[in-house]
Amino acid sequence: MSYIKAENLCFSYDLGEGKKKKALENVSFEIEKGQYVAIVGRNGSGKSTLAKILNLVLEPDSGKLTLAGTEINDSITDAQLLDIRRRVGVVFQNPDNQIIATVVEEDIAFGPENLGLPPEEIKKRVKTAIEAVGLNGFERSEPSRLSGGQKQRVAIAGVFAMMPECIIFDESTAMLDPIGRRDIMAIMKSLSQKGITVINITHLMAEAAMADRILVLNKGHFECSGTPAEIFSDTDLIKRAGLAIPQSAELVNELRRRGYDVGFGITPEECAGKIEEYYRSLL
Amino acid sequence: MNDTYDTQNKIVLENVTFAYNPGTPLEKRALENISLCFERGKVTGIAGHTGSGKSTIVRLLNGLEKPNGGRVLLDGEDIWANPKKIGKIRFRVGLVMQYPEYQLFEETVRADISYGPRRMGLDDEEINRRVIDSAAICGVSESDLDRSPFELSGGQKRRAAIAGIMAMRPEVLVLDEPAAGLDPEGRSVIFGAVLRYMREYDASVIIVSHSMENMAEYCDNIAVLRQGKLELSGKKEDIFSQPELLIKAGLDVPEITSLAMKLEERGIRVSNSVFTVGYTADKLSALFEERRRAKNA
Repeated sequence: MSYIKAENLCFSYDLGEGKKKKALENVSFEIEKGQYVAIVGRNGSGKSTLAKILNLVLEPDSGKLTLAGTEINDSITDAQLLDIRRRVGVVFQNPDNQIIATVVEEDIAFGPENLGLPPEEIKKRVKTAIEAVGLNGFERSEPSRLSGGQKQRVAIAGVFAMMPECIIFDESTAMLDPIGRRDIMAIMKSLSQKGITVINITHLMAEAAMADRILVLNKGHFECSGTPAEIFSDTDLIKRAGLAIPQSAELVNELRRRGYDVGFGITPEECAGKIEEYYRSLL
Repeated sequence: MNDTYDTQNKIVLENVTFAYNPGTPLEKRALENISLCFERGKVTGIAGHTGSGKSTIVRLLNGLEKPNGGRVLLDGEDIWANPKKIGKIRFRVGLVMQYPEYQLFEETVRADISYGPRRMGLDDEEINRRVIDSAAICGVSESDLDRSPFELSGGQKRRAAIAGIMAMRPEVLVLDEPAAGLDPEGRSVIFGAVLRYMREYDASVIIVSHSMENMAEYCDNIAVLRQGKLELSGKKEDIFSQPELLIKAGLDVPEITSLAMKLEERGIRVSNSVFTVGYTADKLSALFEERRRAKNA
């Protein structure tokens, strides 16, 4: 059974005066436990709406959503909802909106404290979480004095301390500089290696390229899913869905279009290798 | 970037030094002895890592901050020569802040775009002309002008916000991360509008960004800041021919540039300055053809 399952999700925003704006139409997909998945799409594709539905902030107009193996419907109890929220954590776009304490370790302890865990257990979890995001030495720091990337790491640690099975990153690197972004990407990878299901909702294809699988949304519809190589080598799809693919992939696609059969790659290293191989083969 | 007194230079920073809270224990040096010229009809990119002083330069250019040392010259005149008139400078140096769509506040898009020109004391006819003109440059359709800004999509909102600045017809247009959070289509629409405005009004455009890929595509000149100092400045082609220096300044070189560096390590030299995909594809195609011909010969 899949860990997350969306079946025909539909959602419209109410603009008032009887006007509605369709945001999602019959969106269906499945995500297996432990997968590292990126959800991509251009502005207005429905990514943010889907993110809010997965976070249980918005309720779909119709369709069925199963999270952590539990179907979300009207008969769900508050206790079940709380349990799902603990098991499926979310890291939002703006780190300033999700930090509440004035000391890093207290902020990270906030979640576990609310679970009513014994102090020893809380301490242990905070320590593990700090190590998981590489914030050693910042335990007593004031979050407001940290950089955007460091704040975002505090937010991730806070979620990690709840020992979730899945973490959804909702445009979590959008407000960070390139170094902050790289740090967060590395953490996503390591969380995934720890067996946590990672879902990264992003418009940055360089980030999506790190995932095992990419789901593409386009104009409120589910367009397709595939490995990064499958998605980025499909030039028609890229145009249709308005995606910006990594420049290296764009270059090898362009060379192939011009009739040079260089193969396909995503990272600069990979593509340089393919181009060299092709170049050497010409003589 | 030429000599300070070249009339081609629209706005110039001359030995500018700036510190926040000067003379207090909280003093924080932000810029040290920066000299930079921004030409009319050209796009200059300012790149730098977080904390490098990029935003401080933006604030100095339109008189939100006053330099502790040095001068900011607009058409050769010190913008602080008469501090009481600094408000007027802000009409001439238009600033589009990060995520400007968060600052839309009027009931209609039209009212929002009119706000700046109205503050300038222009008559209704001129305001109306400017609103229509700026909206057209930014691709905001006339039918959207009477809608609430909050009914627009994110990309449309951003364009409406930029049109509001353009409606003041600034001679210098400064944009802080104008494409942040936009998809490729949204990005090219925004930059297209900025270039159109520049050509139509012979304005000087200054773009502050983390993204060296945007810089590579749209800028003529680039200045790189590092810890409050000017690390590099010059024509785009010259800047990208020294990728090692960009990396040293903590910047991400465009991915295509690092691919070219890797090819060079493997003995395939594309060109001495690589920064766009199309150009690289052209150069590589030529190399492939040359090799094919050598084989057939």
